[in-house]
Amino acid sequence: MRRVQIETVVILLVVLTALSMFPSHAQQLSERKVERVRAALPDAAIVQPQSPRKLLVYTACRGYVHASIPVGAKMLELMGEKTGAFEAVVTDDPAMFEPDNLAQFDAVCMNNTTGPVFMPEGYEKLSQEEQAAARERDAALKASLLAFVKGGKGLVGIHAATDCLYEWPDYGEMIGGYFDGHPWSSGDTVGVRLDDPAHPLNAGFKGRKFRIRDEIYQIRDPYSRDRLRVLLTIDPQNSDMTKNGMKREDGDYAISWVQSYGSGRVFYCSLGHNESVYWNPGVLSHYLAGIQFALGDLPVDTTPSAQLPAEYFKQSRRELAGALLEETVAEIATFEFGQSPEWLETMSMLVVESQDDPARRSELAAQLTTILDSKATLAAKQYVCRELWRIASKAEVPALAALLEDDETADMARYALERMEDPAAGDALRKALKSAEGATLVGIVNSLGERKDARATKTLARLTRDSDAAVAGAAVRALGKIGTKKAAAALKKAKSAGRVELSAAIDAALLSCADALSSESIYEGMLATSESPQTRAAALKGLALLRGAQGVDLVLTGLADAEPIVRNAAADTLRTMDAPGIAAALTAALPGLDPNAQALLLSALADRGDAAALPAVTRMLTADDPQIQLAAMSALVKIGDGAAVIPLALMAAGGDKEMAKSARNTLNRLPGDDVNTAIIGALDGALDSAPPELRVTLVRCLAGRFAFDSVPTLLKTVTDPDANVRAQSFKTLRVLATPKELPVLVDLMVAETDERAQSEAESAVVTIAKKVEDASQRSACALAAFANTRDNIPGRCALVRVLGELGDDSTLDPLRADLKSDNAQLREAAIRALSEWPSAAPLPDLYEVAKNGPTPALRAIALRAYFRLLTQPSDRPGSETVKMYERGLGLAKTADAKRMAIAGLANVPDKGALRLLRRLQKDPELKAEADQAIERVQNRGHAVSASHNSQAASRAIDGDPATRWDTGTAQSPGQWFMVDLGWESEVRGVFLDTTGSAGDYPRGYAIYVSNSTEDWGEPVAQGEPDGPVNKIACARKRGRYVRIVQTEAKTSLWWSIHEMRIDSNL
Amino acid sequence: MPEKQKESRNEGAPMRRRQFLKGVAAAAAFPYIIPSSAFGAAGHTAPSNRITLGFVGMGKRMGSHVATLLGRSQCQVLALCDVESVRLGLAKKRVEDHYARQSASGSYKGCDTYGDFREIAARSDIDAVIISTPDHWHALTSIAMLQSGKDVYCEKPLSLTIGEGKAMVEATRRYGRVFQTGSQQRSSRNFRVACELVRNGRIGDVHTVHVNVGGPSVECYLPAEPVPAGLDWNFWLGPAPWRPYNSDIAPGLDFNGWPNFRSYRDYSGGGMTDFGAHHFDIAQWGLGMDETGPVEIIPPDGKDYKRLTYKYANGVVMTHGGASGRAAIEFVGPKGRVLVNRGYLGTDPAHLQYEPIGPTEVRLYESPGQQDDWLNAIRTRSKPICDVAIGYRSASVCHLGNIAYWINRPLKWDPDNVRFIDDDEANRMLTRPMRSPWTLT
Repeated sequence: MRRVQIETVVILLVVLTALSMFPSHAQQLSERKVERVRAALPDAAIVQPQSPRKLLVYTACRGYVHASIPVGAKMLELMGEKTGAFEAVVTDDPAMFEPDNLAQFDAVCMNNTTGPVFMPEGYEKLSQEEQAAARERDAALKASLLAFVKGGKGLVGIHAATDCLYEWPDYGEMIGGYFDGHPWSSGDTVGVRLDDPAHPLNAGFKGRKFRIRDEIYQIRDPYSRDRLRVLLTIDPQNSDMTKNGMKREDGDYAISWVQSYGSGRVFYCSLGHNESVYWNPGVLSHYLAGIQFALGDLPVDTTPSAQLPAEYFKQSRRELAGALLEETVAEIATFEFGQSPEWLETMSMLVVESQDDPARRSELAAQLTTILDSKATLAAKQYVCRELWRIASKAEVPALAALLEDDETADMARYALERMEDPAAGDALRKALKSAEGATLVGIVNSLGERKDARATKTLARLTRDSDAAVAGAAVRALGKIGTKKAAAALKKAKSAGRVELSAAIDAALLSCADALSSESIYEGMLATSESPQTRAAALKGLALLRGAQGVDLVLTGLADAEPIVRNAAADTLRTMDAPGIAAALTAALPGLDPNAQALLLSALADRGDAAALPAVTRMLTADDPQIQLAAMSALVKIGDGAAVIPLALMAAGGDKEMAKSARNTLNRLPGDDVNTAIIGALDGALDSAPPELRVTLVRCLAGRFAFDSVPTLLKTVTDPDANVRAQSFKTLRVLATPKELPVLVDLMVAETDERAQSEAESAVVTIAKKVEDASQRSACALAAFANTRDNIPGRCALVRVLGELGDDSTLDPLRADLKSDNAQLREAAIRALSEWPSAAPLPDLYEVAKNGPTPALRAIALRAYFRLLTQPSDRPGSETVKMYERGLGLAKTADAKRMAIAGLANVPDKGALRLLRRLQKDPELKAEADQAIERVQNRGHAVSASHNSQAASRAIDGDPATRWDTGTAQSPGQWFMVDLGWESEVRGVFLDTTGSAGDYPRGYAIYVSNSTEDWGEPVAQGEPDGPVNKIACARKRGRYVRIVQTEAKTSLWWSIHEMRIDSNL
Repeated sequence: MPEKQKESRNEGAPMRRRQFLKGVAAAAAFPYIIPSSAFGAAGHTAPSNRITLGFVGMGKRMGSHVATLLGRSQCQVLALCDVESVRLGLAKKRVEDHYARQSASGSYKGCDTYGDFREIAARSDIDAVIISTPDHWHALTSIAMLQSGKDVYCEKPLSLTIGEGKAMVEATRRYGRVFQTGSQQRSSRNFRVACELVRNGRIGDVHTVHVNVGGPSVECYLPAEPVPAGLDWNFWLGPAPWRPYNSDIAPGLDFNGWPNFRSYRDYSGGGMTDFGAHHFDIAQWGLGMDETGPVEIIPPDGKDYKRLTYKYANGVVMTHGGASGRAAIEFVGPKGRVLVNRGYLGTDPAHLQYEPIGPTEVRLYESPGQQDDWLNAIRTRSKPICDVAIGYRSASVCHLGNIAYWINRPLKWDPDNVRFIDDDEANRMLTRPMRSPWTLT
């Protein structure tokens, strides 16, 4: 239907055009339609024109002809007349677009133009020559229109203005997009939403979305929010979004927009298929504003929509709603769940902002409240009640009270009323009690309870007798919250009525009253008569706390109650009772209780932190029942002092493993200030007669307690006749001693005769030596002793092991001598020490041992160490490393050793490694590992990484200067970019290009080349560039890795690399 | 490049020192004092002596509680509750299958299921209950359990409102029950050590704390969707204002993430209470403010206060956001900083964190794990590591921040009287009126 040509109309138009410059189809319009248009038009211009304006209204069609064109044209004429904004000149003559003709106009309006509108009709029937002339004229007219708009004039498009000139891309860009079908047809009614509600061109809609019957276009490329400021779109929540032909994946069905084009202005609106559009006052106001914008009189923001921050929409909606409260409230009144809540959120924002303006806040509350007694949706009413929860005053109470009468809205009304301090809220709730029933009544009773509304007591008392248990229960709970004597009396009465289903609620409510009234008598009554253990438990606790010291007996009885719930509450009460003499009373009772009660009491005494109870608690360590012993220990962790040391140490040294562990832990944690002194005193005193296990325990806990002041004592116990005491002393000294004690410890270590104690001494010496601040002095003590220890072989072995662990290159020479010692034990110790060496320095020694060592086992150890050290960072050239592997492999007897070499070779950045691996590949036993290593070597390629944004580093080497790596933060020294060349190469230069982000070149760089990512040596180039392209020559160096380090800071700029190259040679 | 290697090669000394000190710290750490076997035959508790448990809310969070507690022989799971029947059935099967594997006969029946938590409250054979419902159900469920004499483990954030938290503390105290809040970071070494460093003045008197957590929750306007079969949506909503079902709020069983009810104000306080109940909780612990709170809350004003800012009576300032690097909580004092997060503890200067804390210094509660600590407390009747009063105050810090964001003006808070000073609007937000028939008791 849409595409049917109506030949007769076209013919008629041609005839009429011949008669007059104005295509007078307007004359066919009925007076009725004209009057409707005239009445709907705005009375005045939005802004007074700066000078008389002329609008050329073009109606030519070379495709479908819209029946509404005459009404549209008439509307534009009338709009100009009525508002005085412009004079409209209607034409379908392309000649009007000749530059001289066009010059007299301020803007052109394409009114439902279709097809190639500058071509003559019947073009196909023309001769070749005529066709060429027509094409030439078409191009000239297009150029004229383009220059017109670009040069600072306006373009307005109505409806089919996007359905023409498809062959002219400039037009598509200028008008903003092309027609791509109309999912919604002329008979459909759709919702239209203000995409930019506060935009001046939308002012006529007063912020409100609207519904309209019209054909709605789908717009395709070059439509883009990156260029257009979209004003109206389909409202998906009020439109059928399941129409056939909908193609836009982004769901962006824009209806109108503006844009700046060159120096000119463009306004387009796709509404205007149906004649009725032209007597829609909102749309007409939109047209007028758009036309005045295009004419140059109404300057508006044309920032493309995609560039607008979310904050813009938030703020602009807020301003709009603030100015148009009634409209906003009307908008809110139609809200349903699932619809866009933008106006609700905007209103909430206004409410928040009105906090310093009571009058404004009252106005807002009053406006919102109009929704409550309207036909608004329930969701809207709920929204209003939420807002009123915060701001309602006495004025809103009547409207809320009315909602209380409706079961559907009573909960919402309570939401607003319950927390209001104003007594009017209470009055309304109490009044509503009379007629409400069921759940609504329960809710109202609940709210009165929450409000502690004592004036409702009488009614609530009556309601406790309500036949509906839910109502009666609610009344009971409310009375509990009210908590007055009268409420308590009502509850007692309810209790005596004996309704089982209310019993628990009444108990809870009465307890609440007893608490509020501090009423011993209520508690006593409940304790004596209640059958519910939890009620008795709470009554016991409440009563005991009220009684103070006199309550102790009650609690002790409770501790032995048959019901665990009561016992638990009694134990809890012990912790909170606070009156003089309670600790003494409890302590006195402790021995006489049954074990369960004793354990509970011990735990409670600890939580109370009563010092007076401490001796009694400590005595319980020797109880017969392990459960009590453990409970006593738990208590001592919280309150114990030095008096507990010896009893605990005896338990820790005892046979029961679980108990010993707990005792040790307790010793470590005893909080008393005198505990360390007690332990030290015991060790310093005559403990020799005590079992050594006791001394071990005490020495051990000094470490756990970080008792640094015990070192002098430990230096004595470390010479104890018992080897276990000495071993433990060394162990504790490892934690507590300082470098000051190192010489003594080394001497003691050398002199130690027990193997285990000596081993502990070694780890103490190593640990403390590592605390020496000056790294070069860490081995000094051991080295000094080394020179003086010749014949004491175990002592010298200990020193060798210590030096091995410390791994200081300067001690290598003395150790080397022991490699050749006559003593096998010493030789072995030396070999093992070198095998663990942290640097590559002993490689030749290890090779020598691997070759000529005394036993096969030691040779194997040395060879493994040799291969291990070859993988350590070093500045050796890769080719040298390959040679060293080759020599090592010559000594390798086992496949395991060879596999180690293979694993190492896979990482050597020299082609020689590949050659060697290929040789190893021939050994069937090694083939699998060699294959893997070769694959790794061959797959090794360039890899890049960086200190920042490492995942994007590859963009610097992707060959695309448009992409970049950047730091994502200001330039600062230490930032780096690293290239792994995969192979050791000679690096000659680096090329850095930052042209795409010209300011982001590094303000300073240092370039390093190395085979190791951990040892970079000296830079091969340094500089401070002053531009984005830098070709940097480097001092030639071989290495696998190149690192560019930022050396300067630049606060406002990032460091970027768009492209980089490295000039290198294998 | 592996970070560790770098340190051990180039900066050998610090690394070795760190390793050494790590060793020391490990030696100092020790498990809780009382072995569980103290309460029964070694390693196995007689059925008659077991703590009997009920679980309420069988969602994603409960999964890990079930896993932990099924593995504890000192307790026995007797009852489960959920308003979604399929989930409930699957949980029952999991529990019964577990016990069946342990039984001689290879079969087990004895885990009951309920759609209404009040039926579990009514069972006198259940000692204790774990609650991991959405936040808006925490208070009502907990208080019902406490009133029927049960001990409670309730997930964090403790409550939906400050008023609810206060009522939960009152009920716990009134009935003398044990109540553990599920802010399990308190059972984690990093957080404890961080707080001990702060409490012992290792960085001097702390003046500022930065806490990184998400923002407040928002109103929910989502569209209506059909209620899935098996879900009692009205019960799911419970005390919250009625609204139609939407799967974003309470997703079906095919969804394995964290449900998004946390984002909406009727059910939760958003990121502010979700992670706030962990990280603000640790901040309060480090500051020694466990049973109180800030006295001023100032929302960001774009000028003097770039971030929501809390002020304590002693002058300490705490900001929402601003912790640096990997830290979620950053304590700042005149002598340095303590930075902590899950899996991360840092200090500035670095050596602070390796300096041991002696037994005579402030040593904070050392818990063997949030659930085990609760089971211990049930036995000894002591307060567990995150007692209800702590959970209440930590959640209150989060709620106070939310209220300040929502009201958008500086608030003065009286932590003793649990009231805002001279601010009716803010005081109205201390509780939420509940939909009938629900009410806080």
